Amino acid sequence: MVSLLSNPLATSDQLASSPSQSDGLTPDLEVSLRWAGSTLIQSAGILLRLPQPTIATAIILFQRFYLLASFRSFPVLATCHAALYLASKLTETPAKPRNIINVTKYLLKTPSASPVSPAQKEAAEGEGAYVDEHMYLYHRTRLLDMETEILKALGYQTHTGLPYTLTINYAQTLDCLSKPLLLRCFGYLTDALLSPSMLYLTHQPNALAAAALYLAARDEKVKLPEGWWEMFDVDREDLGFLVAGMKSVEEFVRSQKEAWGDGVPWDEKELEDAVRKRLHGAE
Amino acid sequence: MSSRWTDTAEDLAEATRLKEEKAAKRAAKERKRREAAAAAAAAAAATPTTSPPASKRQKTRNDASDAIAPERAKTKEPKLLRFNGATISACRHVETSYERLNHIEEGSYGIVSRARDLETAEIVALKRLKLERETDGFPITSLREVTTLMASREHPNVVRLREVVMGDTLKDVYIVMDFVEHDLKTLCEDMAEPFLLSETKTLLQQLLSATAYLHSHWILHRDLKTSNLLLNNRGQIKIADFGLARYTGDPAPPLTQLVVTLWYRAPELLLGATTYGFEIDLWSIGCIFGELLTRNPLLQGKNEIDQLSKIFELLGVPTESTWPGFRRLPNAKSLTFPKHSATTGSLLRTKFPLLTKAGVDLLGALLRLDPKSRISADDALMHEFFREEPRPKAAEMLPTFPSKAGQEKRRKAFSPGAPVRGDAPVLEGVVGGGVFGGVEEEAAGAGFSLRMGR
Repeated sequence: MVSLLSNPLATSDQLASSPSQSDGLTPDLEVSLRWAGSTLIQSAGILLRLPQPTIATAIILFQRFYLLASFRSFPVLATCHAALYLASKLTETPAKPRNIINVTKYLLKTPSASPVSPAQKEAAEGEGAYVDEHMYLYHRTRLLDMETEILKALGYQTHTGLPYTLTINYAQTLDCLSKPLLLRCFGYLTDALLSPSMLYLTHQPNALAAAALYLAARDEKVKLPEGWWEMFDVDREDLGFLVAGMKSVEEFVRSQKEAWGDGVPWDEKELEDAVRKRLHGAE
Repeated sequence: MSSRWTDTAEDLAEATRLKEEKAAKRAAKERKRREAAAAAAAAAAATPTTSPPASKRQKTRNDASDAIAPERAKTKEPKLLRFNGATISACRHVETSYERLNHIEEGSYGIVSRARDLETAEIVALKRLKLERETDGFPITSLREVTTLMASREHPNVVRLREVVMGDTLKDVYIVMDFVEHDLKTLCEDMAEPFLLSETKTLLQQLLSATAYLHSHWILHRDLKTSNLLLNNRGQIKIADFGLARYTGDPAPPLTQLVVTLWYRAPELLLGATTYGFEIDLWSIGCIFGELLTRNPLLQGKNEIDQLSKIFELLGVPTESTWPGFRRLPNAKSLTFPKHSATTGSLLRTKFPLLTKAGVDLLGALLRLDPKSRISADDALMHEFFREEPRPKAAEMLPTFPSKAGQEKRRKAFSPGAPVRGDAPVLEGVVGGGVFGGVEEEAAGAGFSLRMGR
């Protein structure tokens, strides 16, 4: 099954030209918005009790979309909603738009374990975390429009091969399958979804799986034969790059969380303000 | 945690011998890792837009190539497999990419028309999805259709999805497929003579090969029938209309029983099974096989009850030994089955008197009531039927026909459509009785039919 091992990847031209930056966003703002959106999807997915393959699919769709579209033309929150909704359909674990909208609102207004939640309670109890019917219909309409916008931008090519199950196969092949090892693998793979280098858009699942297994084996002090990654068609260079990328996510998230204590600009107005502020700062 | 690769006592001597060597290696590795980490950190610090990781890595390779060149020369360069996926690119616009030629067909799912690709002048089929009434966004059935078609577009016997294009609004979605001249149903109706046995074998073989491919990719088609099988003028069958197709898994997820057009629907679906698998597609293929031989649909029930009666008439009423556990299926409880043994035998042999023993055997294996003992697509392809004389004819040697879809609107003969979304029907009533009164007569008269007119 080749489809498990091959994903549509970003071309170097696509990585070099950012529609958001052509649209006036600073690079740091784009990186932060991508991080915040991915994190919101991950946190909301957990609260919605969606399986990790659904969540990972949503994050990958989200990142592929902003490879081709600007954060300024398509507000990040509606895209998060739509990516989750679309991924839930694609992976046959349907989630309701109402639940998705409620959960993201809750996460953005109430303190929680998620890095995108505010540290302090922002509004009065209950009020801030509540979506009234009017706002719900507004978000829902945008969600449904964004769903088709995502499909349109991706040319209806939604295939997302995930590395999670591959790590099980690889660990089995190397005769080192154990629960703690796998949990670490999965942890690294989930971390990699948030990487600013968009590892899931630049590398195929087999490379991601091998890198996660490499790190997990090192953490768990499991010895593996020399050059084992070549067996899974991963070269040393890619492995090194991915290992470094996965390891740096923790530090990246910490810095992002510090930089955006009161939340990233989620809606258009906040984003326009942020863009303007940065423009003036530069002047 | 210990693994096969952990050092044992025996390895210790060897290990000490290799220690120095390893230490040197480790130092080299550490240096390289630091290099890689530095490169990645640089890539992480700068945005991916200003310094794409791809080019970064390219640079590292060039810089490091001198240092590791002698090392590389000793060890053979590994041959690594690379699977290149598609690129990420947006939909094209329908008006600027295609010129519509003529209308082919309209169904509940959408409108199909013939069109010309403006770039390559190739003729394609353009299927416009009906999305106006959708309230839950892009319908999951259409999403499944597109994803399953994309996953199987490499197979020569599955209609090739070229791309999806859009119109001016978000509701204008068109699926672009290869244009195929005929569908098997219209063709069977219009042919003066049925296909030869060798031709039937070729068609069946292609159908089974495509189905085996779908099943190996965990795709259930769920609506195989002659009107969904297209035939081009080079003798190739193309499975089309993936409107009910979806991915399945092991164990199978709960699935709706409202699938497959009635005449091609497997008995376990009619009896209300909610977990079913690839076997339902093979039942449909059995029905298609029968239809190719006689040019008439094999089991033409008027409703679900009648369909079950027709099935049991032809193949016999199931017993606990021929289909273990069938009485536990939801709809089996409310049905009464005649118990005498005269009704449990199969009449396939008498219905197809001109078919060889192997042919009847394959048909019987496809139309096995118990899904567990039904033949798989892979096994069916290996069946003796395809190896005995007459051998399957080469696809290129199949007869060609004038294309109806090419210009004229098709004449529509009555055939029931695929079930639509809604509640599953609850079956009540008696199977057998009057229906089974005709069994002896049928057995005696099989093989002869006198038709007036037409």
